[in-house]
Amino acid sequence: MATIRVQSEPFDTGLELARLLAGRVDVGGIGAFVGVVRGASAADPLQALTLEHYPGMTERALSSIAAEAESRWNLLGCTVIHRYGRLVPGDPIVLVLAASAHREPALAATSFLIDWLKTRAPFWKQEQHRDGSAHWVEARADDDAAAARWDPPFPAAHAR
Amino acid sequence: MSEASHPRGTALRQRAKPPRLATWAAVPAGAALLIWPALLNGYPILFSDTGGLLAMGFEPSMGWDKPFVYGPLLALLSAHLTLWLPTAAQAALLSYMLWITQALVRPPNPARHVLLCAILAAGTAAPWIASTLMPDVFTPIAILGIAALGLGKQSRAQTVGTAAITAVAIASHLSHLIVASACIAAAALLRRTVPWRPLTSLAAALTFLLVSNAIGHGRPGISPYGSVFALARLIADGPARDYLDHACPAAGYRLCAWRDRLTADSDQFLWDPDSPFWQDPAPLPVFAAEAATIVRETVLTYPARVLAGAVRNAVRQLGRSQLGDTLVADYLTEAVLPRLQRWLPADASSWTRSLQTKGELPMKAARLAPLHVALLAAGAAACALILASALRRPNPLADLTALVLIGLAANALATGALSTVHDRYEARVAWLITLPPLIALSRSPKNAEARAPNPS
Repeated sequence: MATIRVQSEPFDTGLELARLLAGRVDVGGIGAFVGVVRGASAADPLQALTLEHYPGMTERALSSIAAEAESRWNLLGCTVIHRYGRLVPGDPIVLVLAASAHREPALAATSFLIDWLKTRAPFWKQEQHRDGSAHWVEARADDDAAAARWDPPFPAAHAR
Repeated sequence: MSEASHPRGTALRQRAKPPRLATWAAVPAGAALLIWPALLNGYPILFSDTGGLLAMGFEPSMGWDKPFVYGPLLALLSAHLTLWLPTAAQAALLSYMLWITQALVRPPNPARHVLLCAILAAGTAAPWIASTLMPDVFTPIAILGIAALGLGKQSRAQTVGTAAITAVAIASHLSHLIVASACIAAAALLRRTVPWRPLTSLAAALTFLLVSNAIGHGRPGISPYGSVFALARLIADGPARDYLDHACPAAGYRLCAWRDRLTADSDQFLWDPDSPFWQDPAPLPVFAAEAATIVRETVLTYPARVLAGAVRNAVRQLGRSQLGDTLVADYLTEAVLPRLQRWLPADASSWTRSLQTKGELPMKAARLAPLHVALLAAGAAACALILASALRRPNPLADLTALVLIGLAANALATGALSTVHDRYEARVAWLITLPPLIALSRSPKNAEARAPNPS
């Protein structure tokens, strides 16, 4: 069963890796992804990114995405931690860990998880810029395209 | 000869004023009886919404769909120790309201109060509602509070306390505003006067909602995002889908892009993470503004269909009051457990051992369903007789009965017609139909003689 957490406080990647590995000798590799708030361009510098969510609903959505990953690849463990609240450039925002007996499913599942998280996790995101302007983040075509590549039928080489 | 010097008058006075200790013990004793399902379960009964309510109270944070009332109360009353404390508190409030309500008909008596609570605990959904950590428990409390304030008289301290509890109850769930308004209107008609005391509670609740939403959401209003619920209802019933078919794509709504994913299930729209509401990246204020526009245009385009749908759903809601949909463990692991682990870790381990977690609670409740149905049917028949008696001579019991029935109908309208039809919505109040007959049964002819029309 996947570990799902939605929290405002920072996460400890090393600690989460240790938790995922604790007591296991069948894991051959862990795919890991740490998302970080990017500070945009010098012409339009980002001051902060604020994420709002609906407690309970978000965890359900993340659990559903993790369950989809577990159904597609032979995973031995999975951790998804997403932060909310006000984050500034450089802050870690999301952690994805996927453990498997072999590297290929671990890496593929990690890639899948972050692609789907970007487009399907129900967060409302608002960017605040240094010039005082603020706007809500809309869907990005490149995120949609990245997620769409996992729509069935997905590459056979990635199947469990 | 004064009553005090009359032997029979003295005896009656003694019955009407029981020992003070027994009076004070009656309400907690009744409360203890009303939380037996939580004791059976091994932990207060939770619902997936309880997770969001805990977050509102403990973080604290504003929820988009709920008033900032019940969640903070949970955190406050738990003393950051255990959720058993708010469970006991809400059972005590319900017991107190039952005590106050009996005074409308006859002087409250500790033994009779405990007997009344025991019967309600054994044969109705009341204890299940009191044992569940959801604002549902405040629906009957609001109805009884308005009945007490609008139909009877209490001491100054009782009036202040009852009015305060009623205000909190009204503010705790948006549907309670409609229920309370209907009950206050009923009290006004029955007493042929302006019921200032319950009106004060309603005004206090409205003021709190306006101020808390202005501060917390930056949007003054009773329900800043209520349009999303109305849209979900109209989509499910059909008129909003037909309107979008007609208006898209020219109207330029964001929802036009999701038209093929709008179904006849309002819960799917509101609570499925893959629904257009959650998948559209538009922030809530933007989505709610569009929802308000679509709702307005739909109502203007199809007024008769919208009205017919509301009546149909309200009638369906009136007939749905079975226990069960709050007793399952659906989504509790995702929605509630992480919050218990974070803020009440000792409770988290108790919860994992509860019958609800193991999926055994619905079966326990199902065994009682025939008894609940039988008592509801008997209560409905008895209420009809009580109302018929008022045709001969108006009486306080008939007034209470009328107000309760108005409350049940308003609850069905507020939830079924404006939200969605769920058993839990009517189950939270349907048991009140047994209350007037039970009060009548425990009123002996001598008691009836002894009571004052408006006991204080």
